[in-house]
Amino acid sequence: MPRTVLTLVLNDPPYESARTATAFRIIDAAIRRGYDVNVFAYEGAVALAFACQAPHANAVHGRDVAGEDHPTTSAWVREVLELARERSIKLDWVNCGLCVDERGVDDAVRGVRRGSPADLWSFVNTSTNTLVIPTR
Amino acid sequence: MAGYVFIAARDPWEGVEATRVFEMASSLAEARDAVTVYLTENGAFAARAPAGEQFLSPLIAAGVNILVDPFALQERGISHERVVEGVVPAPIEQLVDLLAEGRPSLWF
Repeated sequence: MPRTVLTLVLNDPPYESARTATAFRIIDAAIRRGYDVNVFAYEGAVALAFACQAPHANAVHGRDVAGEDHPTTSAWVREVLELARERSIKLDWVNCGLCVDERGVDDAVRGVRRGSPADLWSFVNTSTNTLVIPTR
Repeated sequence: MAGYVFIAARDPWEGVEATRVFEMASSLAEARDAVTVYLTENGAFAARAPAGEQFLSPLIAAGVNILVDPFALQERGISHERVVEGVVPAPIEQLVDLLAEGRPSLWF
């Protein structure tokens, strides 16, 4: 029986929209259900996996870095990649290369690869389903 | 597999787009297609009784299956007791399973 494969197309940059959190919830749930997942990050979404993101303190609230516990999307990417590895699930995360170059976010977390819309074409043609999460 | 999944993430009071997509979902259901609308993020506001009936009652009457993300309800302080009758709280895993059935999906 062929494996179930879900493809998600993400467009939103980090820290802009609830759609990012929902997308990660869907990816996490799909992995835990045993489905393979492809992610094609397009436009601003390529910055989700930018390895140079750093958690920060919050002087206004008087909290240090640990107390603020500010999440980064690159940490979330690492976590879903790790979850997939633990469960022997294939999570293929592709960043649009041109979008990466435009934004200077080429330092992605390990496990994320650079690609092009041709990868999205391949994903769509080999997936059980494709969900596009638009910016608006 | 026949059937469609609409993922409603917008507050339906924000504009007419949500209403138009709800009309499309209703039309598909009336044409005997299985249609599920999953309310998440600000789309969960449509599930709040008594205001949300104006959007959801026509869908329910047309046979559309309406699910709402409990996480989105909790974020917005909407208790399950205040959800429009006929709308079912369903964890996001249920949405993932619908997608895994290969149903055409539309996020709006």
